[in-house]
Amino acid sequence: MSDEVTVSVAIDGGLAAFPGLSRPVTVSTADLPPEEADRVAKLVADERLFDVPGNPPPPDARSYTVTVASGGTDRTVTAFDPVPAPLRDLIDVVQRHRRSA
Amino acid sequence: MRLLCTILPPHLTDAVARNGGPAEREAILDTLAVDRSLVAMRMHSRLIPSALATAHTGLARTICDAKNSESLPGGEVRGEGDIAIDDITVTEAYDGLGATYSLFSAAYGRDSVDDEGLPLLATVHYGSRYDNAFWNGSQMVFGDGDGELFNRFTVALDVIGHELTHGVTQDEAGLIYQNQPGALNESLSDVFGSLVKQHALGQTAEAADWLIGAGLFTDRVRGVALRSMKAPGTAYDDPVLGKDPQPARMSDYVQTSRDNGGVHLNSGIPNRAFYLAAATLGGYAWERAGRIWYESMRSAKVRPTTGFARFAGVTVDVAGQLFGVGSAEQQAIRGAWNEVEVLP
Repeated sequence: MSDEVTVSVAIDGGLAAFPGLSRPVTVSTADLPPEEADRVAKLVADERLFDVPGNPPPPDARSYTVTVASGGTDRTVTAFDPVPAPLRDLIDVVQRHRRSA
Repeated sequence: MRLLCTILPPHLTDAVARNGGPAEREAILDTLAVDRSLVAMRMHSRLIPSALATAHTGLARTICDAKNSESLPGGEVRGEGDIAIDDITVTEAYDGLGATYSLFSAAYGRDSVDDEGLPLLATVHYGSRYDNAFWNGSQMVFGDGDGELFNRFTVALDVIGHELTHGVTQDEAGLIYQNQPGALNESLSDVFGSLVKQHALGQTAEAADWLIGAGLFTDRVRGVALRSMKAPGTAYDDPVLGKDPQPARMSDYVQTSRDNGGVHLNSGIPNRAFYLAAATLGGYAWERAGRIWYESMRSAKVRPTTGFARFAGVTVDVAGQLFGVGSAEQQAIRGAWNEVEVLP
């Protein structure tokens, strides 16, 4: 069993900026089913996770601010649509959890 | 599809020219050469007709289907003149591109997004349950919505007009997407997005709802639309989405680092100014208020960093040029900016 990892995602911007959606949603691997927790552990170990384009955002693109915390350290990355694959997958896990929570 | 490159951001086309494969490089270098010489020509004389610019003029639509992936543009499902297929989102996107082209062409004599006949490309079914629509610098992108909060994003004609107007603004004023210039950029998209809808429906300023994105919310959401130009801050008040945070006057301007400095919040101020001007003048809003806004966004006095007050000053000047100094039109425009506290 790997260390507990928490991931928080805040969505901002988009065609309209909704105050209710910009509040961060946080998910801990301790609260996820084992296969989802394993998936998160693999995704956050992928260095490409933080490798996002630095271009200015296109109009109406959503921004995703993702913070990954584990073992006493944390890293934050902000990406715009279209979000690269490993980060997209991690955001999807958190979004699914938000819906089932 | 090479023409699409003509409105790609320069940093992007330059990067392809440096890093792309031989064929991509050749295409981009051709485009850059044509583009930059044309820009130079236009700068020397704004009177050079658009016929010089490209081999293509007129409406040319392509709708692609991402099939719920995030790869763009996806496979083509309908081209210009093709008969409708059995997919309402494809039909709405195709018709919406046509209605947007029609407003700019009929009211302002503009030939597409770049006034040079740029073919219009839209991708539908982008992503999974994707709750947004955006302009990526060269095309439109529509999600299907999650079905819980949002319906499909092609459902609102003004949203389609909004996205394409981002392309027009990029081509003309080049307003940066941050703080006041960004909020003005957003407002121009709302103004012409709403006018696309009013033009298509044949509505006067009095008959129009002045809402942006009516129909986008599912019936579980407490709200009527994303924004109200007539009454900013009143479009929704919902337990999940929160309350519509748009201000309607400068004294309520929102300072924030979120949303690129509140571009979707503070757009409420110039939105209301446009509504007030159009309501005062009456009749079809695209004819007078819309024409003044359109000529203002094309003015050399509007630069990438232009904020509300400078833009407002340009609209007053343009109203004087088009309709006469001291005309009812100029007074309506000045009065509208005064009411939202942008001009004294």
